[in-house]
Parts: sequence; structure tokens; C-alpha cells
Amino acid sequence: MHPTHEMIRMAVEDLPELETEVAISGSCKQQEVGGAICLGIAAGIAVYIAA
Amino acid sequence: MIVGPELRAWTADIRLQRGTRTAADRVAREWTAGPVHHRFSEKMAGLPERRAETVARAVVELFADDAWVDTLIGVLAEAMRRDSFFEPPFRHLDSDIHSGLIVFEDDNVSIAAGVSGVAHLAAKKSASRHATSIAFSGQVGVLKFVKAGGARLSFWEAPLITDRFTAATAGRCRKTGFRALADGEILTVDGRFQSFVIDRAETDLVILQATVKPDQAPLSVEYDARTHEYVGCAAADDSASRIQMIATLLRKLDGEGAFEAIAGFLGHPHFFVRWHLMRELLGLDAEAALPHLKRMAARDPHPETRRAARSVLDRIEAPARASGRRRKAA
Repeated sequence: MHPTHEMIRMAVEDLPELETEVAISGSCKQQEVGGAICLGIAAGIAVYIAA
Repeated sequence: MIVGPELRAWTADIRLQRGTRTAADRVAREWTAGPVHHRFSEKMAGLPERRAETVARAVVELFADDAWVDTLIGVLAEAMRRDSFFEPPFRHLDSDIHSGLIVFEDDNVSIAAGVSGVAHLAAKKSASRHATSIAFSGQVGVLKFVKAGGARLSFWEAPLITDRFTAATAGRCRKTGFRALADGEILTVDGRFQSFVIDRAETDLVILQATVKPDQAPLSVEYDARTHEYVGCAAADDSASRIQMIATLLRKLDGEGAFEAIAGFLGHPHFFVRWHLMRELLGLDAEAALPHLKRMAARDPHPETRRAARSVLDRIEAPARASGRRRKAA
């Protein structure tokens, strides 16, 4: 948005996160040994985050 | 990379490349117009309601006949015999242990046919030096083990993943049983609270896998395979992650209409998307975001989103209150 008034912007990195951290779709914290995700997911952004 | 004479000839000849593409297009056309795809489409179009249980039941009926798998493999194998550069015209569904092709997809379901390699499975299990997880996908799935490979599965359950999910109340997962699979067996696994582990297998498994789209949970959830404690969660649906990424991009680009575009998604059903969008709005224009923030602090259905909004609101209102007190004292 181009400012039409003096905008006050908060620093996003200073804003609180939720206590429940939610990773991007398709990612996992540990190596999975069980579940349908082991067989691949039909639609997703395949990002693997190592523990 | 060592380029053999066949590949050298193929990359140098546009006619050969066109021929490969034409063959793939023909297989795709014939599959889409063929009786199996037609049967899947008809079944899904005729559903009385768009609910996970209804779609799953319809898929179980469709999976009763799996003769088409052999036909499809035959068609693909023949095309590959004719042209070693032929690629099946289906989206891939791959993991460390599984290679599949998505052969049907609509708004209700995606259906894949694939193979879980026993060697890959064994390698994965023996190489797992790191912590491992049992994942709950958040989606209802129907699996047909066309060839069960002498596999033994263990079955797991965890608390239901809902729109109000929190890490603090995620609990633990628990094993509910195990058994050997028979060829042709069909399992419906409600990934909103159920999962499975292939404990062992003797040969490759041929699996039809349907992922049901309606009534998905917002998250997929991981539990530690050893302790059964909660490990973490991820968005179950890639569209939620895309909205988050695009909102951040819009804020960073600071283009005209960014605020309104992001604010338009504040009613998103997933709590983590709503809070992500609110952070981006506050980063763009805190004053314009304030009414939305107040509403979120008062009325958002998720406790953590309400709490986070309240905490930012307190931070914004604290200087105003202090300045009011100072004016009163003067």
C-alpha cells in the first residue's frame, strides 16, 4: 500500500509467535517411519527439515 | 554425467523429443478419456454429499476392482519399450520408500498407484540413527494393498486433530494393534487421529492410495516413535502455506492494495494462517490493523491466536494509557 497517511509499522520479528509452532506444509522435524506421509503426500511443498 | 549415444542423439534431434512428448500426450489423453478415469469421475460426481466418510466409502467401492492397475502398467511399459525417454504423464508421488503416480484427481480425492520398495524400507529402518516419528497426516486415506508383500503393520492413534489444536494439549500417540496384511486388503485410515507403520515386509508392496480432500484437519502432527510424545506439526494443506508465503511477500513488496489483499484472508479457517496474516498487517500499517486486532483478541476461536492478539494489543495500548495518566496528573 502506498501511504496516504503516516503509517505506523510494527517490526514483524518483534511480534509474538503462537506457542504452537506450525511448520510449512510437507515438512517434518524428525525422520518419519510411520503414516501416510511416508508414502508421499499428493499435494504439498516438499521441504525436509532435519531434526 | 556420462552422456550415452542414445541420449546424445535424442537431445540433438527435436523430432525425437517431439515424438516423446506426443507419446506422453497420447497416453494422457487415452487415460483421461478411458473407462477407469470415467468411472472415478462418475463416482465422485454422483456423491450425495462432500464429506470425508462419503468420499472414503466411494473409494473403497472403486478399489474393489484393481485390474486396471495391470493394464495401466502394461500401457506405460509398452511406451517405455518403444521410447526409453518416455515419461509417464502423471504427477509423481515419491518418498524415501515409495514411488507412485497420481492417476486421478478432483476436488474430492487424489488417487495414486505406487510401489513401496522392501529394500528402501529396510534401508530406512536400519539407517534411522536420528530420532524418528509417527506421522498423523490430518487427512482421511484409503489404501489398497494390491500386493501386500507379506507386510506387517502396526496401528496407532492420537488425540483428534481439530481446528483448536494446540501443542500443549496434543497428548501422546499409542499403539492400538498390529497384524499381517493380505493381498488385496483395503484399509481406511483416518489421519486426523489414526496412523500406521509398516513394521516389516518380505517383498515390494503395490499400493493404491487415495487421499480424501473434504474435512481435512488443519495440521499434520508428528509424535516421537520411541517416547510417543508430541514432536511438532505442519500445515496439512499446502494452500495454507502458500497464503502465508504470499502474505509475507506482499508485505515486503509493500505494493498498492497489499493490506486489503491480506486482510481479505483474515477469516481463514486455520488459526496459524490468521495469526500469520495479522503479523503481516501490523507490519504494513498498525493503525489500520488495529480494529482487526481488537476483533481477533476478543473473538478468535483459537485460544493461542486470541492470546497473541491480546498481548500485542496490550503493548499498543500501554503507552496510550501511560500518556493518559500523565495528562491527568498534570
